[in-house]
Amino acid sequence: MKNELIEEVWKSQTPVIVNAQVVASQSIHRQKRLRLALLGEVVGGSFAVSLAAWFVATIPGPITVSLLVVCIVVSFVSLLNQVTLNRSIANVRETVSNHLERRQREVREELIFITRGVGLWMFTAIVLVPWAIWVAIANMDAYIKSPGSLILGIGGILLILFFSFRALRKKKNRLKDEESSVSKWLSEYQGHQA
Amino acid sequence: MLSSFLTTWFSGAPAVGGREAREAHYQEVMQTLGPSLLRVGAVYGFKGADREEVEQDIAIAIWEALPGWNSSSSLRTYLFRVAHNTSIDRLRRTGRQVSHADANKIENQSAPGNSPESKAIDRQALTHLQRAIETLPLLQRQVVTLSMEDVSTEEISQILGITNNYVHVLVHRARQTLKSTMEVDHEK
Repeated sequence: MKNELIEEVWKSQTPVIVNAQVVASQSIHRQKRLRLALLGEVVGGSFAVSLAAWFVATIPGPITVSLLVVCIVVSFVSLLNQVTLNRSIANVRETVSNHLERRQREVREELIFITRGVGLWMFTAIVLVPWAIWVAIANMDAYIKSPGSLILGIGGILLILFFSFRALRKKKNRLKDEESSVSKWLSEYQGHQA
Repeated sequence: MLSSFLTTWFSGAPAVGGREAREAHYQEVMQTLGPSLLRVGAVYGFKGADREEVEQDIAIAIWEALPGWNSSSSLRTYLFRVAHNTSIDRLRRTGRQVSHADANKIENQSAPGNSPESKAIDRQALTHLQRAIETLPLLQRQVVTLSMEDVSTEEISQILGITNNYVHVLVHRARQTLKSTMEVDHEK
């Protein structure tokens, strides 16, 4: 097959060009959504951390401290997601190899942060799980009379730990996949960058 | 003053005027470069609804990037960078991998011709070409598809950030692979 024919086939794809007014309104809508999401992250995270800090001040103990730690980690990860999303959207004007290098740097930074988050989660779990078991055994009589509070209290702690771990692990796996893809793409550029 | 800033910030509307001029500029650019820029989505293996979404992302990114263009590079170079980087970012956001086809598993399909069924054959040839492109490493795909859009070696090197010599090598290598993949398949 000749080069000209290959080009002709490639150019036979005719994407629909959307009207400028429609694109402008989509752009406004997207920027609005991004800004509101960022604001939501800041407000929601600040509220959750403040509430948890207030709990620590009024009812000091390992459970409230652990709740505060989990709130800080989750809020920070969530905010980081939003900020990096905005950052990558703002940098689409550089050369593709520079863009990939930036992505690689950002993904590696995020991976370091998530790895620390997992470490923090493990520390929290090591403190919290034995403490929850000890509380359950020490107050067995009361919990037998009122099993609802056992399910709600201890079950709640375990659920929070389980879901936060799952979210951290999912994010970490996704970042690892992304890091390996970006590194593979960049290896094709290396040694030939202008 | 604060309320006006907050209103602008939350509404996402541009702070400066001249929207009509901007729309006219966008329309003019898309009339000439639009199809080539939107085809960039195909380089990364986006198909069906994903393809439509990446095209929308590219269109929005071009709309947003147009006012930031300066004459340090040609407009076409600048916009191809935006289109490629936007497609890469979409891959990242959706957690997808670049699709990769196996050259040995490409089905037997006909090349386009002038018969009455040429439209259907064209579609087949396009699917075949897309799959052949997907057998290439990412950088070769980027280079060969840009060259198919009649982008010069110099411009490709400025878009991708690689040397002119390497662009030459990759274009040659990728075109050879594409031709042989499609010819071998055509002979089956």
